[in-house]
Amino acid sequence: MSVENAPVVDVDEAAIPVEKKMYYRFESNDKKEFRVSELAIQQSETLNRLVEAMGYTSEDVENKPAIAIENIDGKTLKLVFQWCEHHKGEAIPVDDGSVPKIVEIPEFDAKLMDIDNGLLFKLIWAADYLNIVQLLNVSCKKVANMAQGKTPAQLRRVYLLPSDEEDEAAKRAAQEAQDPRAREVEEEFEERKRQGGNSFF
Amino acid sequence: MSFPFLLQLPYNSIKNVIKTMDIRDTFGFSLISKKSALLVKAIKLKVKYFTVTVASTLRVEITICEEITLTFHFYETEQIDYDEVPTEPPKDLYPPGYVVLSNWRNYEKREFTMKKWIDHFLKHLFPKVQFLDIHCTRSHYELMRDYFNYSDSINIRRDNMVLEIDLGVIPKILIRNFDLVETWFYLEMSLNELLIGNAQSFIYHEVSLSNKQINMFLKCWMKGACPNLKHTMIRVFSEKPLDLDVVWKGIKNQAAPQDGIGICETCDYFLQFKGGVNIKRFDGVVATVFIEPVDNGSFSVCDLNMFVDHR
Repeated sequence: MSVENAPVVDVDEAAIPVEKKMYYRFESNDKKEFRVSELAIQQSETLNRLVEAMGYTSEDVENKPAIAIENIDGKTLKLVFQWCEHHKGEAIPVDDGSVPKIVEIPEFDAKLMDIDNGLLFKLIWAADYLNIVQLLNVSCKKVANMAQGKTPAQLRRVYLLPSDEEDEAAKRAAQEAQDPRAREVEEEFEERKRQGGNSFF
Repeated sequence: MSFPFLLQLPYNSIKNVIKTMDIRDTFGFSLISKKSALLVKAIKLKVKYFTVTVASTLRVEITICEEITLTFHFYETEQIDYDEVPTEPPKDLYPPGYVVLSNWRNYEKREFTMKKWIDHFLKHLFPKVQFLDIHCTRSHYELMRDYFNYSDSINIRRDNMVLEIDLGVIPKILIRNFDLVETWFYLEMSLNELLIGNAQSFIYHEVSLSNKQINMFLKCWMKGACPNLKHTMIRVFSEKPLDLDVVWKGIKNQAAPQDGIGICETCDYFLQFKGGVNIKRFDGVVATVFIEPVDNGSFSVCDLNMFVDHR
């Protein structure tokens, strides 16, 4: 099944097919609405628990407002639900704690994640928030693949990681931004510790 | 391709990214900064074998699983294969300018001393080592002991150990309190050397002991020798055939109940056992002993198994 054909539809677009299966309605933070099958929702532990707790009937789904997902936008949520629909019914992988973790990216997922880094970042956040284990695995694997064959210096550029010196400077700046009185107390405490005193008072 | 948002991801996702990396990339990632090393430490890489070879080369091999072995060559000079005799005399250990990984990728870290490299391996990257395997001469053993015997690294070193080469270091190994000491070659071991063992588990695949020495070993254990011992398996080679009258002479013992199954929680080799002979230490701790002859042609061979304080 191609990404385009995945059965996630914006509610204001094409006509909704009438099926006996239950479809839940979700709304992103930019007011885009999606209908997602009950089976697809099972890929997300967070949403699955939520709909179970709500105990909606088919009538409730139609008559009550769509379930709001406050911190995910429509573009990201569309990708998430496309992924869930494509993988519905598949077993959710259990983390056996093995490291390195062997993850294969299927063709569908690779196409789905052929997106810019900003959107990939949001997709990982969404997968983490909604607790979609396999989507999190494949999206993280895509980021991990960017490290392939790189030297530490190249890796620093790929992931924009600060050097030790930059980390130290940031730490100092954060300390300086602290409340001046708290800093004074901390310095006094450090001074007393250096002098070998056990008690601050 | 770059992904400048890595550190802005949720912590679990950052760990997931590192966990799904190729292990060689993970190693490179750990060398970027202290923060990246801490992130790699957080994923708790497990290692099956950790082998250090010191001859005219210093080579560290880390086996993650059956398929993945990282080999780090610290010296650029003579490369020798396993068991090959070096032609150059041993060198003093010095900080490597860089580490060559599997003859494939160089990792440079000019500011790293040898101590920092070893720290990086054993404290940051691979804190859970199942087997630490040091192949080195006696003179180098002292040096390697210094390198591996500080701060947290000692816990790993104490974890398990297999030693294959220099017999001169054996007593030094036995006296330390490792979880497991295992030897795979013929040992001319004195009774005293056997009795200084401090490990929880000894597995000696070939040891020369007389019937009387086995008797003395059991008696000394009953008096408090080898206090940490939980399990031992010794394949004993002797000039004379096994004589149980000599072995048990003067030892108060009792046949263990035949219907109960004992479970040894220390060793991987014999998880369950039945029968045997019980002996009691001065403090009341019971050990079940098995002494069984082994058919070995012209040699007189027996297996001595001993399970201490088992369930």
